[in-house]
Amino acid sequence: MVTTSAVAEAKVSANGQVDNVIELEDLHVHFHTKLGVVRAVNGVTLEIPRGKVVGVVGESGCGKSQTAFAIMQLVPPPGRIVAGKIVLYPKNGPPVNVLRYDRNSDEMRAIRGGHVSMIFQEPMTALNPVYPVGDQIMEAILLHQTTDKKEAAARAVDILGKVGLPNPKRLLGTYPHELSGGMRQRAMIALALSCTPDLLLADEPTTALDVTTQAQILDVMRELQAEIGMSILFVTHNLGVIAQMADEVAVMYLGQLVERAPVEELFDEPRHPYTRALMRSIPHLGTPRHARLNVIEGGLPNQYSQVPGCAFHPRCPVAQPGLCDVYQPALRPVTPTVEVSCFLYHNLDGTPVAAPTQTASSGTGPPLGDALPA
Amino acid sequence: MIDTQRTRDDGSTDRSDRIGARNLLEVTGLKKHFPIHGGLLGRLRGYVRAVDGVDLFIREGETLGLVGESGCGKSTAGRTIIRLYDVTDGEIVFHDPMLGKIHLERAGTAELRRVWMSMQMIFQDPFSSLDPRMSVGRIVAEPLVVNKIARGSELRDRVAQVLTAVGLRPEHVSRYPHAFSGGQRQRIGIARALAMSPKLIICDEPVSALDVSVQAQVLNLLEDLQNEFDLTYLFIAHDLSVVDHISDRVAVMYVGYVVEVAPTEELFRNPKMPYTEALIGAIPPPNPRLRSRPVKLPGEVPSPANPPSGCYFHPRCQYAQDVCKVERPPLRQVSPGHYAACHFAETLSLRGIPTLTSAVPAVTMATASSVTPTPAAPAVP
Amino acid sequence: MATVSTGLPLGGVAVQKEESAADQVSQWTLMRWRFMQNRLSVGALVVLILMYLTAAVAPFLSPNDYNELDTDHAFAAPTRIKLVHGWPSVCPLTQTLDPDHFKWVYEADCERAVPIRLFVHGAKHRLLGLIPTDVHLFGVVDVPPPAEAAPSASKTAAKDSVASLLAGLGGQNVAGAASAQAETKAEKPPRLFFFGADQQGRDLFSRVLEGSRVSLTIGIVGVIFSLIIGSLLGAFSGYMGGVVDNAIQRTIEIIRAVPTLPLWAAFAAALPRTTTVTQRYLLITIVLSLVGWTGLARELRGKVLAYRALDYIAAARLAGSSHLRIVLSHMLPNAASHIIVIATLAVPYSILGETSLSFLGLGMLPPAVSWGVLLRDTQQIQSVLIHPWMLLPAVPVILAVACFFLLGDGLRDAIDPYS
Repeated sequence: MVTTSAVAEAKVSANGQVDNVIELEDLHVHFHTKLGVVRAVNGVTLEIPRGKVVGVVGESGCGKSQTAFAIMQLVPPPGRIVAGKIVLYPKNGPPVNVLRYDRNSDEMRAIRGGHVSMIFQEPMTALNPVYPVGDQIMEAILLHQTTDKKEAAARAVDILGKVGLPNPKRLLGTYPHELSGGMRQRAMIALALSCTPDLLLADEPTTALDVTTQAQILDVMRELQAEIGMSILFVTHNLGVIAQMADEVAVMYLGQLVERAPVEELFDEPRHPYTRALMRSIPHLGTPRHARLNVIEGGLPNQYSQVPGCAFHPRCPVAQPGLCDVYQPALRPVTPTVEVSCFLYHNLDGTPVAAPTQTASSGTGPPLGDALPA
Repeated sequence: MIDTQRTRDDGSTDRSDRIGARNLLEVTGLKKHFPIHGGLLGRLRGYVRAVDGVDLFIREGETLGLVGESGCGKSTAGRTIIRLYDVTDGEIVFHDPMLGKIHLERAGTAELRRVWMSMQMIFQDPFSSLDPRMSVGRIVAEPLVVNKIARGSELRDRVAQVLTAVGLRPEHVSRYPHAFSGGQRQRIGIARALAMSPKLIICDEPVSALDVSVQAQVLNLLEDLQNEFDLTYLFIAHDLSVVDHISDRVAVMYVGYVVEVAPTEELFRNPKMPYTEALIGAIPPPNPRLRSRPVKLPGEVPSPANPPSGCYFHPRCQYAQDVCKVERPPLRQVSPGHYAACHFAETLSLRGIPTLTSAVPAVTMATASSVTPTPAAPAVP
Repeated sequence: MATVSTGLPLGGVAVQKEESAADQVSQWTLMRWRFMQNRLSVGALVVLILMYLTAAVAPFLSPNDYNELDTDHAFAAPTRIKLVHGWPSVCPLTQTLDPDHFKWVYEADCERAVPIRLFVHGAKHRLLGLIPTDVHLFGVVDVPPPAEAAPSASKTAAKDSVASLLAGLGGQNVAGAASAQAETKAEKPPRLFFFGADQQGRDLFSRVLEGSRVSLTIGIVGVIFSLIIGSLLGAFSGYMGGVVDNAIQRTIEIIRAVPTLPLWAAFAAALPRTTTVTQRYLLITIVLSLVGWTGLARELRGKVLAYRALDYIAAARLAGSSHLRIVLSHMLPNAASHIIVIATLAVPYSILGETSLSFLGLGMLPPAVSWGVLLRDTQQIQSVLIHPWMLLPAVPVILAVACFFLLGDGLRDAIDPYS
């Protein structure tokens, strides 16, 4: 880390023309355990544009949740943010270099809840069981926004109504355990949005819910996102949810981003072999019945080991020996909007591969369509 | 396996020839109520009607999917059918290959132990379903040892055989479950169920706890095993996509009873019960261009301890009439093989897959059968 | 390891192909690793092992026979040890009666200090209960005889005293014989009382060592009885549920509702008084476990209730296993680590129980020796004020109890690091 002040350092990167709400740069989160080091997040660089929803997809253990936790500086021990930079650009106020603050500092507390909020898979991680829902929301509002109790109560009722909770006035005195699962999820969202954050981190918020409840929650989140104009980092493993919610998608594998694309481009043409394999392995309504599903061969490597070269190469159907197992590809643009970290698209020196991917059918390599099991 | 069966135009496999005409299992009016005790003296306060009148049958060799949201009683139904729970009311008739026709609802312990040789179960949680203190070999061998089917080298051979069948290495017998990943653990659980060469396997959410890429492996394995060992599955799941993929017929449950049963294709294309329509409509399609949901389902699943009057779905149903509030419609045949519990099954025109998820160009990528020609792999530098 | 440098921003990464150690080891090994990290618990374990080893060879370590009366040394204070030529030696005591306070006063005569010897002969005992011997690790054999003592004996003895202090047994035999001969004429050898002596002049140190055999083992044996009763009743209570569960749980509640000490006392008072030491020992363990099993049964029932809901139990039923088999081969092995912890934490209560009972005269009875029996002598406050060393038997009680608690906590953390 550079020794300049947090604000000054952040301003330098603010000069880009894109209006981002947060920028992560080469973020590393390591878990030091007795059995070895788990590199949960291993060099993630990611920007979230203001007012957009960025989806992060990946399988369990790929580091998608830890990326979100790192932004809040809430990585659970023995995890530590060992390197990287996180710069937050609040709507009102100067940019903030988040990692310059101690995780327990007042500044960090002001960021959490004030500018960045988080919702979880399990609502009871965010809701305190011994206080009524309304009290908790009012407390957050009083802490960050206003000192007038009446106004805070009015706002709490307002936000509880917005997340679709019936009879919000009565809910002010309702305890979390009196609510059903879906209702608790709504209450947690209300709590997270009570201070109109710039950025909402959503960590698998619908994974534990039934499909019909999930659909309701997704509707609420989409409506509120449009209304408040906040950005969302939406972490999930469900590609359907991503397709419904995200504007941009980042695909993670073993702590690294392997592909970034606008959501439509990603679903139109997934480029990274892992993204392709992941999409094909999931059955959905309308896929041929009883036909064999495509599988990603092999399993995740041991969490303590580091795979040389591209992390996906041991399971990759189109891995190129001598290249993918030796060198680590970097995330590089393939089209103006799509970035992929794969040697199918760019050479070792970073130049694009001779045949442009959109038009080509060069005969030098095996066509990808054949190489992937159909 | 797959080659032996015809593949239809849409890439689905035609399995009509492998499904027998005989029923293997018939369940009629199955009920399982759990008492609620409360108060200082633990007096009986009422019942949770977890399963409240399930009717279904399973033909030999087929896969019947049983879907529903959490709390609808699908797992309880599965566990009651295999008699891990006692039956409150109703009939379970199992046509055992060795014992013949058996009424499971009144079978005693000894009889059940014999039935369990041909009726087994695969569990959801790959962690809690394997005894952490037992080696893989002992886990898989347990049914063979307890029932005195095999011992010594015969036992070892049989264990190695089933482990190989599920894609594990026979050398793994001495390892303990914690050394395996979730997917591998699920294979161990499948091997244990297979050890006795059962006819019917009740799969209780077998892939729900697995990572997406591992799900596909286990689903493929289940289909392979079904073909190889001529198995019949009752496949319980909440994920409609998975059920759609693996089932020949699908039964939909809502608050303790079956509201619709039909062949898979028919059910998803042409649902006859509004709840099925809502369930299909709630699945987020993996298509970013398809973001408006034509069917919205308000409200929440009612508590099985205190279900609504009449049709349990009527408070959430947009088509509900007065009769729905009073009378619970029975499950009846609407068209050949298509059963629905709705007063207006014939008259309603409900939307299934074609209207909800068709015209989906983006899905092609994810569809195994129609992979878009992908750009050629570039030259290796 | 191979590191490849590249021109790419992230560079090459190290190869690490070995499978992780965690995949290969058993759960017991993982527990051991976690336990070994807890220094305090490991220390407690070491102390406990030393204490049990000491108890096992107590007569060998005792310099005196624990029952040997010696009116010349009633209430003798702990012996002063003086270094003579760099070797610890014992100053002989002379006993006089203080007529003003009517108590014995001892005067040490360090001019005539006698060295402590290793591997000396003394009272006969069986090493580890098996090997008959009269060798003790250390002790005091003889005093340098006054000049007018029998010359032959004195010569041998003198020769012996200047000989190597780690002398072979042969030489010592002669010395022993010599002292026996000289007994009438020579003074008795000075006594070695590390912890002082009691009213009858018995060596408190040797008695503490001897008492540890009863006190330390009665805790464990009592807990083993509790374990057998508690784990079976607890496991079946949790597994069967219903009436069985209700009956067992209500019984437990009734037993637990009564204060422990009076309950023990009531049971113990009902014991016949005319029993041998061994019978008494067994009866006391049964008394302790009749009360002690309840806690174990409760905890185990909770565990079993939790296990009962697990799918592997359902799978075991579907495999055709009987209830007995499910309890014995699935539930108890899984609860084993918890049982060990519960048992470890129950041992100190058992030790305290025996100590309390014996202290009250309801437990072990003289001539049997246990820490509680020894502490009975401190019931007279006056005696404790004048002879504070009489409280020393409480030290090993505290040490053992504290170590068992530390050990149990460490084990608990090791098996269940998240609760």
